[in-house]
Amino acid sequence: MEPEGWVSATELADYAYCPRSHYYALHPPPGGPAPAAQRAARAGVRYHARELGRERRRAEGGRGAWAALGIGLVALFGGSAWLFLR
Amino acid sequence: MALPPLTSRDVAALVLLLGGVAVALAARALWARRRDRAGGTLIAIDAGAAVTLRSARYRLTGRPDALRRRSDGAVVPVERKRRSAPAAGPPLAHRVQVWAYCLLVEETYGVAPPFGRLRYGDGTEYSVPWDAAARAELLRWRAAIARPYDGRATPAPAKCARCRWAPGCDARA
Repeated sequence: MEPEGWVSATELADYAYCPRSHYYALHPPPGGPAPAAQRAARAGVRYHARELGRERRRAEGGRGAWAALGIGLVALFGGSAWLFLR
Repeated sequence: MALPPLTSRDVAALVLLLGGVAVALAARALWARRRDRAGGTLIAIDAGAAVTLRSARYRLTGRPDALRRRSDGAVVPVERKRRSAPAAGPPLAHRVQVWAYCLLVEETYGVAPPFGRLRYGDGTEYSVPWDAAARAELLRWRAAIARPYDGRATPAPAKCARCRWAPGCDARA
């Protein structure tokens, strides 16, 4: 919750989407948000956690991808030679 | 029921298949890393090292999904969306969010980013320019949200179909 008079970038986006949507976020109507929207919001949280985690691991620069590429190429050429050249 | 014994051809085909899968996955990971690096060096991400940006001048806060520093020193905010990219380009709400992050980056780091990035779930990326027109529009939205709510709504079928408040909203399209 932001201090009085402050807004977040997400709130501004919600307001630009529709001022009524922003109003309902502050004063929920009876029945609350649509169940499908709540499921979508939870899926969005999971998506962000997964994708941002991947992006962080990529930035940390592990050598796993290069190792997998090397092993894969060896298996690919080795398997081809075994299968077609025997 | 006993399975037939594997022949050497079966094993070779299996090795070939696994090799192909490993190469495909590795190539995908390396391509994603290359794309990330083209956007600059990661300096903050909302997964362990999140940063909340604040501007007392505009009474604005925000936590971009990622901040990347480009080779020219500019810090660029990146916002991710789970949905696939809209055919007509980023909608206003997404642009307003990215503009808000651009303003916060400018206030925090003292240098205006040339643009913010929007990355959609299907891999499509957009640069959202941060220029005088964008700043003026963002500040119009900032002023509008500060005013008392007067019942305004901007219903449209596509928006209302996605809106979480649609079931109880008397303004829905």
